[in-house]
Formats: sequence, structure tokens, C-alpha cells
Amino acid sequence: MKTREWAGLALTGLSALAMMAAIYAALVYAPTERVMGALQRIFYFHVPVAVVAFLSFGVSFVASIGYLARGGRRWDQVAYAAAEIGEVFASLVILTGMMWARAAWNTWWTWDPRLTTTLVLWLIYAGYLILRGSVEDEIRRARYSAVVAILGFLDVPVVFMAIRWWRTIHPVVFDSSGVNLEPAMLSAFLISLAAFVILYVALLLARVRQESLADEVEFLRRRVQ
Amino acid sequence: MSFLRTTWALVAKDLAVERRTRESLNVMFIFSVMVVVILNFAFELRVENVGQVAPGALWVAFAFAGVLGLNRSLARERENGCLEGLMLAPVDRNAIFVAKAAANLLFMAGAEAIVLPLFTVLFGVNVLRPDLLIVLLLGTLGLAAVGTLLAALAVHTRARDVLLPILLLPVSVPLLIAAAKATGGLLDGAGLAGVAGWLQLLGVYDAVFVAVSYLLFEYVLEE
Amino acid sequence: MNSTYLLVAAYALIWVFVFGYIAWLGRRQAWLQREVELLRKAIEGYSGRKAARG
Repeated sequence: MKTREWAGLALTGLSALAMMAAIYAALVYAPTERVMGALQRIFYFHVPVAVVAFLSFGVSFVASIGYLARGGRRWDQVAYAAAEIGEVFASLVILTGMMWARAAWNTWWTWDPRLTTTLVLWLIYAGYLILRGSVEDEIRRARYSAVVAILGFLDVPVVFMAIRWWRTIHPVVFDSSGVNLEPAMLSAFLISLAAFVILYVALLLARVRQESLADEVEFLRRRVQ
Repeated sequence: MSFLRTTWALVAKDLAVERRTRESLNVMFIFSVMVVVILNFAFELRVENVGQVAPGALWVAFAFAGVLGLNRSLARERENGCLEGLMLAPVDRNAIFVAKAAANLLFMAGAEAIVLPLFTVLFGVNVLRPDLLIVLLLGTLGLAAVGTLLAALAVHTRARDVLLPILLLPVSVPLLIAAAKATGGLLDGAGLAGVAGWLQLLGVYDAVFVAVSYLLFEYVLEE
Repeated sequence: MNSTYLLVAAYALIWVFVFGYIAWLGRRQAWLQREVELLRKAIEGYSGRKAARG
């Protein structure tokens, strides 16, 4: 118990430090981009958040397969925690993406394949979370969630292909963020990416552990009854 | 009993029940008509060329009607304890999926067959063309497979009817895009070669998701 | 530049979400821990009474 608490604290501290470094790198260290000006700095947070969101959904996907293949509470806990955190980050991707669109192309939404795919993915996992709230039996809930997570994640590449294809036929006026990265920009980006991944790991571990606690509450409740 | 014979027997059972009650078919048909009429009103007020929105409207109607039909089909199974009964019998679980999906496919196709002439009349766009058949087939196949899996799952939850559209529609986005685009392309005279890309996408979607639904179905059935 | 507010809004949003989520986790954790304690006490009380009776 002791070592785990120390590790948790260390991780939290590291996460905070990394995030501060990232903010500095993104807002101060990185040079201002020529075309978009200061607004381009959204990029340093928008992309890492997107990476974390997809990473998290990927973790949920793998954990779901693990649950169906092996069984056991841990797989389901990870699948659920990763889905929830993924949804939080996906919401951020969409919102910051809208800010970026407004800044770059003066429109609140673009049917850009990546952004739209994120939206569809957000919808899929919203369904996942609603599903979880809708099944009481623990084992059924875990199994059904796993099925939906697997189905949903496999859909992502197909959704992307469909929307990209659709977009080339409905040409949109602008193109995606083809930002050329100077070395300083690249470092700022990587620092930010690292910071968000560390934050993600900390959140995931905390959430999974909390899910164990929730399981214990359920177990005790049933014993009392 | 061999796989094929079991599957066929189960499909025949579903068809027999449907023939007697006409529950799913009626519901799907009426709802499709309603959606088509409403969409017609919604678009005609603003759009000059109704032909532009016809493909989308058609597939929206099919998607929503399909959801209703799937719900009814699996809710009925659950009400009568059919799924549990089938699981006790020495029946291959996968056969249950194939049978259910095939039956749902047939019901959806039946509803579509009735909607198409109606759509032609109401929208003034001729959708009674043979080359549309392949789009209809590929699109409905995907919807039926994934829909059967998700409906079987949804029917065992508290949210029941509400959950199926929430789960199915986002997952079927690529299918609906491809189907609507292919339909539109064919209506515009592009010919099957012209919409080959969309047909390929439909094919890929079907290949992947029919297989995945087939594999995952047993986990939904487990007690 | 009057659209700098977008940059500020984007960053602010990220922190609101992240800290909001952490706060939510924290509240939930506290609640769950209380529940565990209460339930454990209830079980001990119950089995204590059982032992006294039986």
C-alpha cells in the first residue's frame, strides 16, 4: 500500500511539472507562427489531447477484448475507465477543434475527416456510457460494454475512410492543418504530448483504482442485504 | 441438425410468425412513410431540386424504420423467452445469429420494397431502378447484421428501445454515407462504374461488420 | 488581435475539463470511501448482534 501511494504521488507530481513545462513551451518558448499568429498555439494542445483520446479508446478496445477472452474484473474496470477518460478528452478535441476552425477558417465547424471521425467516435462511446448505466447485472454489463467497445473502435478506420472520401467529392474550401514545424515548434509539441500522456496515465490509474473501490462498495452492499 | 438446416428452420419460424402478426412489417412500413412525408415537407420548403436530398432522405427513412423493425423483432423474442429456449436446445449459437440477421434482412427488404414506389410518388424521384438493388442489398445487409447484434444486446437492458438507435446509428455512419452517396450517384446517372468506390466501401463495411457481429453475438447470448 | 479570445478559450476549456474531471474523481472517491466505512460498520454491527444472539 505504501509504495503504491508514493508512486501515485510521484506520478501526480511529475504530471504537474510536465504540464507546467508544456504550457511554457506552448505559450512562450515556441515561436509565433507566420500565417496564423498566436492562435496557432491551440495546435500544441489540440493534437496531444486528440492523441490521448484515441489512445484511451484504444486501451478500452484492447481491454474489452481481454475481458471477453479472459474474463475477470480488472479488464472490465480498465475498459470502462479508459472509455470514460477517452470521452472527456474526445469532448476536448471537438471543442478545441471548433476553436481552431473558427480561428483558421472563420467557421465553427468543418467536416474535416479527423474532426468528424472524432465526433462519431464521441457518439459511439456516449452510447457505451449510456449502456453501462442501463444494465444492472455486473457481468452482463461488462460483457455488453465490451461488445460495444470492440464494435465501435473497429468502426473508426471505416468512418474515417468514408468521410475522407465524401469530403473529396464535396470539396471544402480549406485544407487540414498542414503546419510546417520548425524544430522549436516540434520540441514544444513533443513536450506537450509527453505531458498529456503522463497526465493520462495518472488519470487512468486513479480511475481504475476507484472502480475497484466501487466494486467493493457493491459487494458490501449486497452482503448487507 | 446441420448448420444450414437449423438456420433455415429458424428463419422459417420468424417468417411464419411475421406472416401471422405482420407486426414488424406494419410498423416499419408506416414509420417509413411518415419519415418520407415529413422529410418531403422539411426539404421542399427550401430546396429547389428535391432530387438532391432524395438519396439522404431515403436512407434516413430506411435507417429509422430498420431500427424500429429490429427492436420489435428482438423484443418479441425476449417476451416469449425464445432466445433462452433456443440456447437450451442443442443449436449452434452462430446459427441463431445468422437466422436472426437473415430474418431481419428479409423484413427490412420487405419494408423497402413497399417504400420505394411510395417514395417515387411522393418525392417525384424514380427510385424503382434495378441498379439501385445492389446498393439496397449491401446497405441493408450491414444494417441487419450490426442491428441484430446491437438489438439483441439492447433488449436486455433497462433503456431497451431507446438504446438501439443510440448504439446503432453512430456505428452505421460509414454505411449510411456510402449508401446515400451511391444512391445519389446512380440517380444522377453515374452508372455502377461511377459509384464503384462507394460500393467498395459498402462491401468493406459489410465484410468487416458481418464477420465481427457474427463473432460477438455469442457473448450477447451468454447467461 | 480580437480573436485571441479563441486561444484563451481553448486553453481555459482544457483546464476546466481536466480539473473538473479530477475534482469529480476526488468527490466520488471520498463518497465511495465513506460508503465502504459505513457498510463495513453495518456488517460488523450485524454479525456482532448475531453472535450475541446465537
